[in-house]
Order: sequence, then C-alpha cells, then structure tokens
Amino acid sequence: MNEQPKIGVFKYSCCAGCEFQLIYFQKHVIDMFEKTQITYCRMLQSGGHPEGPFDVALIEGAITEQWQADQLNRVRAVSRYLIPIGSCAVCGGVPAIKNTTEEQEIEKRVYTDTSLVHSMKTGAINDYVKIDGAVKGCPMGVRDLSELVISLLLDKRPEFVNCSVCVECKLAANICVLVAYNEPCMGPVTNAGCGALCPGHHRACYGCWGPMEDANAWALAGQFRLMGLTNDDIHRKFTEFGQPTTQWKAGQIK
Amino acid sequence: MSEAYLLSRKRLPDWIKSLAEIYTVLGPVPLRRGQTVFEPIASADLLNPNYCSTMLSPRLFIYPGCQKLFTVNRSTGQYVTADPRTQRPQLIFAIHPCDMHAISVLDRTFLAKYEDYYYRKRRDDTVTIVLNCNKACDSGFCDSMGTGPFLRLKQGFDVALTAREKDFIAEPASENGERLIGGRDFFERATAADLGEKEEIEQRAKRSFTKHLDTDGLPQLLMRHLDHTVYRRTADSRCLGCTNCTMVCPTCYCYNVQDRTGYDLMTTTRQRYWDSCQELHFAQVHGGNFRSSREARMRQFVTHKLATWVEQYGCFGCIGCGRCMTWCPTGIDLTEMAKEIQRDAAEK
Amino acid sequence: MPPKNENQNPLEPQTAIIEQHVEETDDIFSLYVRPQINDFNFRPGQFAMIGLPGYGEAPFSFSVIDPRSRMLVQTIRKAGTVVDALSALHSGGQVSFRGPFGNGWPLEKLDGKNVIVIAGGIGMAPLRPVIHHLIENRSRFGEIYLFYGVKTIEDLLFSDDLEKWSASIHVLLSADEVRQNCRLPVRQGLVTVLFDQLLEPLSDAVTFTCGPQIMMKFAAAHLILQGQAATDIYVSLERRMKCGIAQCGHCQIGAKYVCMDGPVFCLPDIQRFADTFL
Repeated sequence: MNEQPKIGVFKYSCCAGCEFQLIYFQKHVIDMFEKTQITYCRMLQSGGHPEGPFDVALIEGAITEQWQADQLNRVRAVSRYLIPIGSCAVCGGVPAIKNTTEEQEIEKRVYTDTSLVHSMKTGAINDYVKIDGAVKGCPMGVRDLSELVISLLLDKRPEFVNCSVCVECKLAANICVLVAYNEPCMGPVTNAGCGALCPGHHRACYGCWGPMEDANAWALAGQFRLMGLTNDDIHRKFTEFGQPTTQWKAGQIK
Repeated sequence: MSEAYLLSRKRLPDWIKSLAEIYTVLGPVPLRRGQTVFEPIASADLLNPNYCSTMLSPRLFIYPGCQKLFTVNRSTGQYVTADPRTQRPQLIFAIHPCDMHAISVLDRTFLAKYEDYYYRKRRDDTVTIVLNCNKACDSGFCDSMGTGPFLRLKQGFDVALTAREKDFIAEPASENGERLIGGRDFFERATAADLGEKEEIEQRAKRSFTKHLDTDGLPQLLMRHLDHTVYRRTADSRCLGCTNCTMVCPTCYCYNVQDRTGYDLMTTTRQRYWDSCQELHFAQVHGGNFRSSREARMRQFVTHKLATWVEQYGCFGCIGCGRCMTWCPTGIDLTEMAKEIQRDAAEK
Repeated sequence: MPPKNENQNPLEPQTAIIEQHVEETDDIFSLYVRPQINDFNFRPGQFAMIGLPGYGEAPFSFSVIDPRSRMLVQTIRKAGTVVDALSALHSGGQVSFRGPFGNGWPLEKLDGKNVIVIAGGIGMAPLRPVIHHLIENRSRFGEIYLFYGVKTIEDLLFSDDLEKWSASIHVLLSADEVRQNCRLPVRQGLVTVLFDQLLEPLSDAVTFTCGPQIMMKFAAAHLILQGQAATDIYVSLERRMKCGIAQCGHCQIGAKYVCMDGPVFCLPDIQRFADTFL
C-alpha cells in the first residue's frame, strides 16, 4: 500500500473496551502512528471524518438500534475492508444475552419509562453487512489485531486464528481443566486467540471469544450434562457470548 | 550383547545429580491432583518414577509445539536459520517405552528421504533413558500395539531401566548410554538371575492389561470399510473438532507454517507449529475443502493411525498410549471404533 | 535412527530471479523464473514451492522447463495470498524458491502408445511441457490427442502454441460458453463432448489429465467406459502443501503424500482412498 491507509473506528452497543484496546495497542507501537492514519475514532479524537472513505473500517459493538444499522450500511459503502472487532461485533457478545428474553420485559427491567427506548433484537455486524474478516476477542486479541495491521501494510489477506482454544491450550502445555479437573470448559467450541488464558490459570474457558467455525455445541452440551450441569447452566454457557450465532445454537437448549 | 547393571534406589539421586551436571534433565514431576508433567529437574527430590502417563508426551522436547525456522530480511533477502537446540543438551529421564517408540515413529517421518534440519539437531542433542512399565496404565494398550510395556526397540535410545523393589536394572543401548553408566561407582554388574527376574516382571506387566486391540489384518479391514457408519455417528454425536486427540498424540507430526512480519515490515519470521487433521481448515485448498465434514476428519484420524501409516512407514501410527481417548473431552476411543468395525465384519 | 544425512535445510528457500511477467488471461499470469541453483533438474509435472517472505509460499508446477536457458515458467491463476503477492512482481523481482518436488508425469509410459492429454482450465499449465516432449519426440508415439476444456474462449491459455501444436497432434477444444470466434474450432460443452473424436482403440492409449477434480472424474469414467484400462490413466492432484517434503501432513490422501508420491498418480492407486473426490 503506497499511501497511509485510512482507518475509521465506529462504536455501537458495547463497553468500548475494544476501542480502548486499540488505543492501548497503538501507544505500544509508535510506528503505527506513522504508517496509518486514523481519520475517525471518537475515543481517540473529537471531530474526524465519519463520512469516509476508509481503507479499513473497524466496527466495535453489536447492532441494537436502527440508526446503527443505517450508519453501518453507509460505512460499508465507503470502506474497502470492513472488519468487526471484538465479540459484540463479531458474534453478538454480551449485549446479545438479552435476546434470550422478551424485548419489552428486558427494557422494563432497566428503565421505568420505556417510551424513549428504541432497542431491537441484538445482531452481529455480519447479520447486516458483508465483512472482510474479524478480529475476535473480548476485548479483541492483540495477535489478530497486529496481524490485521501488518497485513494491511503488506497488502495481504490476514490469517486470523481460527481453531479451538484447545489448540493454544495444548501448545501452552496446560493440563486440560475439563478432562483432569471436571470443569465445564467451553474451550473445545470456542475460537482461539487468547492463548488459553483461563485454562492457563486452572479456570474453565467461558467462551468470550465466541464460537469457532464448525463447533459441535450439541456434543459439548451433552458432555456438560453428563458432568452434572443443569440445562439452565448449559443454556447460560452457550448464550453468554454468541447468542445469535448458528454454531452455538445447538447448545442453547432450555 | 551389552552388559546390564544394577542401580540401588538409594543411589538414584546421585545418578540424577551427576547427569544434571552435563544435561538439562527432564523427568516426570507430580503436579496437582494426580497429574504428572515432564519438567527440568536438578535433583531426584521431585522425580516420580512411578508415574502412569503424562498429558503431553516428551515428543515436545524434540519436536516442539511451536518452532522458529528462520528469519529473513525482506529488503536484502538475507536468511538467518534458527538454531533449534536448547542451551544445554537435554536428557529425558524415565520416558516410557510407548513414548520412546513414538519418537522412533517420528524419526521415520522427519529423518526420511528429506531430513528435517530442526528435528535432526534436537534428536541428536537429546539423550533418552527409558523406564519400562511394570503395570499397565488405565487406558493403555501398548502390549497390543507391540510398543510396551517393556521396550522392544534395539536402538535409537540410550539406556533402558527396569524398576525392582530395591533397585533398577540399567541396560545401556548406545555408546552414550555406556558413558552415562561407566565409571560411576554406584552401578554394579547385573547377574543372569537379575535378567531372569526382569523377564518375570515383564510377563506380569503383560498380564495386567485390561485393554486390548487385535491388530491382525486391521489395516486391510479398515480400508475395506471406509464408509462405516461409526465415523458418522461418532463425529455427529461426540466429536467436538477440538483437536485434543492429535495435540496429545505422541506420533502426530503434522505442522502448519506461518510468516509473521515485524512492525518495521522488514524482518519476517517463519515459524511452524503443530497442526491437526481434526481442524476444519487443515485440508482446505483454494475453492474447496477435501475434509470439510467432521466425519471425514474422524475417519482420517482412525485410518491413518491404524491403517495407512503401515503402508507409509511400515509401523502403526498408534503406539497404544491411550492419550487420545483420555484427553478427548467426550472420551472418544479409537479402539472402540476399530472394534465395532471388526465386530460388524465378523458378523457378515 | 537412520544415519545422518548431511543435506542442507530443505525448508529454507533459495532465491530466484524473475525474468519476465506475462499476463496470459484476465486472471492467469506467467512468471519466468531463473532459480539460483547448480543442479537444474526439473521434470514435467513436478512443482516448486515459490513465495515471498511475509506472504508465505505455495506449490506451483512448471508450464515451461528450459534447461538451455535454465529458465522455468510458472503459469498461475490469481487466487490466494501468495499469488496476489506474486502477481505484483515484475522482471528483476526476487522470489523464494524450493524444489523441485514430486514425481512428475511418467513420460516413459507413453513410448509406442497412443496418447490422450486432457486439460481443464489452469490444468493446461503442467501439461504444456508434456506436449513439448511429445512434439519433440513425435515419432516415438502413435496418435496424440489434446482435449482442452475452458469456461470461455478468453480463458484459453497458450493459444499461439495450440495453433502450432495442431500441425502435429489433434488439438480439440471445448468451452462452456462459445460467444465469439477462435482461430481453432471450439465446441460448446464440457471437455467430454470432444471424446467422440477419439478414433483409436483406447486399449492401447495412455491418458494424462489435469484440471478440476470433477472434470478428471468424469473424463476418466468416460474413457474407462469406452474401454481404457484405469491403470493407464494418470491424474495430477492439487493440495495445500506447506513443506513439499512429506512432513507437514497437509497433502495426505490415505497413505499417499501428494507432494512426494504425487502430484501425479495412477488413477486406481489413489482412488482406493477416501477424500479424493475422484
């Protein structure tokens, strides 16, 4: 890429942790400021050029309101690549937990006056527009983020991590918490990239990176039941991240 | 035939100490809740010679999970080969016969027509001291696979140990092995009676197996039943596609290669890391995936370990350690799949 | 342990210089490459791992092997990370090069036989050196047929060559869509529509084929129905190999490594395994 690639960062329903991760990441890599140009990022700078065009649009957060979907479509039209960053954008993440309950009931739980709330069922970014890859994680992973940025500068297709957490867990030589310690670990159906952080601390993976491709959620749910989990527990595990996804649907029994 | 020696259990710490002066000694160390892991040890205090099995086999000391191949400067085209060796030569202490066999199986892949530079360097730099198993482990069936409970290799390792109540019988199998024993006053010569008792221990160990697999004609049988329903059923109902089976398998050699470039966009590092045929993208080519179904991937695992490996390398790819079924989150047992195919074929 | 082999590191590439970059069709280009190696020993059907540091490497077969000028030509379809990077290179550029790997076409099986060559799309590339060999040694073979199928006429590779070749061998072309004229006659349809032109008894013919696996499957089935022995059909397969030296495992089909035992296989020898799509 000859010129500095223009990057736009857009935030929808989420905790803003991924945008923070981006800024944190940039502070570490001073070179990045010289090599890219962030033309729109509300957390980084006021103003900017939300109208684009962008070489890369990074989208944080899930879609829960109509204006977000409308803007997303406009951003897509002026961006060469559009990449969701973080679990909310990639697979619905935490905001999508509300999909498991009736919309009005959820609204009433939080607001006394719901007349000003225009919320809808939570969707991931690729439910609305075509995406060109995804930086998964909660917050998004540094390994995939750096792969994205370097790929952009080298003008190549990024190779994101797309296997199960178990791969990284075994490479890190962690003793399997599911098999050895009977912990209900989501690792086998969760996309890797975190370096098996929780199992590395003898904790069960809770799936914050969202589903891996071709995950067999049904089989893992069955195993959890054999391990003594109730259907309710299992349902929560498969809806904490990635409620709208097809890969974990089969585990979302109730 | 080379000599056999005796090492009293009381003198084991002395031996370990003297070995640790020359080598990084990697031995089985107990971890919380009954697990064992191979770790560097400076003395015999931490050592647990009665261990059953480890999650990862010592393959990782010779063929690490992630390995740097070289770095290249993108502007000058200058390559710098990575040195795969560890700072000090390493010694694997008390490796079980199945795992030693597994390394000899890996040798057939990496030290073949083309020789892997990195594997060769590590292999040559590693001393192996085998400890025969006096008792079958829970899911092991090495006796059926011809890889245990006592070592059946004649070469490719350095010393074989057999544990007795008060001492170890030590049989060196290489010049290096002779050197590790020779000149050390805590070794005594073993007698014919000692070796006779070793035979007895082996026979007793063989009788302790509860898990068996009849390998007679198995490769041909599996290749005749590539479309058996057991693959589909297991893949749908139990296989998570998590790759744990292949990650813990001591003979799995597949790797993927990746280039990572630094932020200067100048230095590229090429590295390789264990890959797995159970991973969805493993057989992907542009415009297709030759094993896109979990069923196909499951069949690949079972038929490779128990059938096609024999055609490729003249030995089974399974050494009967039982790790794949132990560490499978849903406990998928490849011997059960093979047995189901055997039963169905017998009924027809 | 096998004895030590004092070879250099087979995973570390050499450098090769690009002499020329030629656009063949909209999505296919050729790189003329001169590898910096002493032993120029490449056979038709073999491949090399070519790449660029930072982008990785991929297997490419040779569409021309010229020992006199020590030049290789790779004809490549634009698909994938490595190819995208290679397609931006021009003469004077450098690529990383490892090879040759694989067995190549069994040219010795063709002597005294009728020869059928079936190419589909980019599959023409690794067969071009076979045609060169056949034409250079024309008297050693019986009738020679080249069946070549493409999507549209614009996708035809090496059209100048095809015309030249048609003077000494039967060149028969087919395209899914025939929208405009071509200097050579082109029939509409899949490559198998051309098979009625085969006059020779197939029992005495050897077939080499390379192309989409579905095309090879149907072409082979067709020929076997018409009386050809399956053992006289050779197919060239494609897999995503990472090492080229039968170690990374990616290209395995049953007991065969496409990178070392192939990429050219005698049909029944590979069909006995699962996941071939043949």
